[in-house]
Amino acid sequence: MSKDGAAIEDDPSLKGLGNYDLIEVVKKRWGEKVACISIGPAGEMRLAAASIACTDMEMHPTRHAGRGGVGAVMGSKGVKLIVLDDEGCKVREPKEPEKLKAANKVWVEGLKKHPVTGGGLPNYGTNVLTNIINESGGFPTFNFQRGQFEGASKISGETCAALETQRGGLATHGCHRGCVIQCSGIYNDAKGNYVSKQPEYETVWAHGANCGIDDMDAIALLDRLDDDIGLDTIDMGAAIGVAMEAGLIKFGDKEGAIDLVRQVGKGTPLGRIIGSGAATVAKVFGVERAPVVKGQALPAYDPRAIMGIGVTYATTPMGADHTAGYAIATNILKCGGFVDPLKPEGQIELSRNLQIATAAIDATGMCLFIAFAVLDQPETFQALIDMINAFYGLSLTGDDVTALGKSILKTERDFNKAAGFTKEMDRLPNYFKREAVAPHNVTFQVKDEDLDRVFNW
Amino acid sequence: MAGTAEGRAASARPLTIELADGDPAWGRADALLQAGFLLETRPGASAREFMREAIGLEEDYIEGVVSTVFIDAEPVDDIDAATLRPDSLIALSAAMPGLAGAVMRRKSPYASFREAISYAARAGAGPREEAASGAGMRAGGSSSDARTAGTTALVRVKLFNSVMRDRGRATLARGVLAEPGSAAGICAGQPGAAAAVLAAAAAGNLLRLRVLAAAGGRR
Repeated sequence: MSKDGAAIEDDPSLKGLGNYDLIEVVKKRWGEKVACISIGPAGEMRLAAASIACTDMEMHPTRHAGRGGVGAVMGSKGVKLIVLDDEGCKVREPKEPEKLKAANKVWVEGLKKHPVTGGGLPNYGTNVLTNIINESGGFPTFNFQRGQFEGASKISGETCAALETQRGGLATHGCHRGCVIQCSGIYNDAKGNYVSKQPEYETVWAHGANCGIDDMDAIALLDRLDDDIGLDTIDMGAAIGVAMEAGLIKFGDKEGAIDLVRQVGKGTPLGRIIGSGAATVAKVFGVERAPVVKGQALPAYDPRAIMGIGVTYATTPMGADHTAGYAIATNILKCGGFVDPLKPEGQIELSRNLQIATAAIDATGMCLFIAFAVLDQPETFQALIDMINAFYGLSLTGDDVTALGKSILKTERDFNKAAGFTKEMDRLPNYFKREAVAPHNVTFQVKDEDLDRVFNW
Repeated sequence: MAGTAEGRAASARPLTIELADGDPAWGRADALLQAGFLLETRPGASAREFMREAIGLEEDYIEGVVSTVFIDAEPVDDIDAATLRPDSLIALSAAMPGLAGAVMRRKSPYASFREAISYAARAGAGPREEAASGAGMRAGGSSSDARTAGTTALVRVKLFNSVMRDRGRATLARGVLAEPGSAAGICAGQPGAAAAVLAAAAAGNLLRLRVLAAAGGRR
């Protein structure tokens, strides 16, 4: 796609290429100033855990639309690669440039001064969460059998950042041009050669604690393989965790885990099963403990320890989506009324409000990590609204944003209903209600009838 | 997780080592800060008192930076009401990303999401009561017994992210106690250190350790 329009080409030579090799072909043919959207072999095989890769600033295919099996959708249409060439394209013009400039200044200042977006994230990346979620007892370990992992500090964001710096990589880096937060990084091997981008928290958890692996190099290699083959790292880590519980390989077997991912890329029968995600692996190997909702693997927070997140996992139309109810400023938006910090609201109401607010913020195209500055700093939230209004010449208010969020959720739920989803699918797997998780020895206690109230607004 | 420190004596004299800026041993020191070391405190000290007295954090820093506190894996909302007992584990962190990060913060508006595990929800029950009534532990050398004296207790401490970066080295410079195996990597290559580590390990003692930045290094 370029300023002149779109052209569709048939190119069988690209078939079966991993995303990294595919981008090398692109560089030779279109140069290094284009951007790419592509699928790897997993998408071509229409596997349920297949992702869509986007190139980063270094033109590595490391930024993935990972969840929901979207790579399989692209593969089913026979689309391997989309090349975007913006040479000669005009930059979009805001309706009110001066207002946009002023709002953007407040916005950037807000992100930079906040301890999460200006400190924790740029210094250590999203993997800064490993230590504290582990400390909380909500860090799923050995396929959700425990809530703490003994090797957590070996794979933490703090440890990873130190390793990256020591090996000549980067501990602070943007994943796209113009990023203010800079929560990514570059992970090199012991010889200083590029392996992957800084593995994200969810990846480190999925391939790490969930599989009993405490080796950062092994996790980075698994991240690289997932990106190359075009796989969701959460579902792959969960699938391998289930395979480990089934006895296919042992927990902690990093070479075995790497081999399983390679088999997905090769399309072996076992690889196709693994690449179909945790739900399929559990069915094939007779494992009850399948950490999935609506067929999608749970992310890195045990819903028994952090029950409110379990409400969102169960009810989000996407299924087990940790980003569906982010820490958006529900108070500022006044979704469902004001939340008194000293008198915590019920988990159902709070999950509802968070899902509404998050759906709206997602629709702006903003990085979700802005949520933390927006959560704590009203002026930063206002700057976001001001920027949107200035760019498009709108006069959106908080109420409009809330209405937008509700509208999006309603559309998503209508889609699910038409696709055959019922309220019985807005549930966590039964074992979360039955099996207590250490160290807190708690089960998921939210009642089904309460889960059914989440979307009653 | 590291085991209990109960009943373990500490080496009488501190092992003091100096590390230059850029020494790889600082990385191993960071690993110790994350994985956990031990400090002496008053039994019953509040989390805030512990941060001030045992770690030396200023009030502004506690309020402005240390927004996430765990005691025995339970997220704490009120650091004045939350108290430490022998063998408690306290972990200190700055504000963290993600919904879960926001949920774990002190007095989070989303605290209801983790009410089953919050410190307040379990205060006065379970393991903490057992810890309170159980044996204390020794500290301050073989002649010092906190159970007898009743004035000090050992608690395990973890410093994460910005707190580790900002105050980790100062904490190590004040002196900590550590299992010899955890401290061995930091001490590697330091004159006389290996013998002290081995002696502590052979005796089953904790190692009393001070790590100083060599002249010209960052504190």
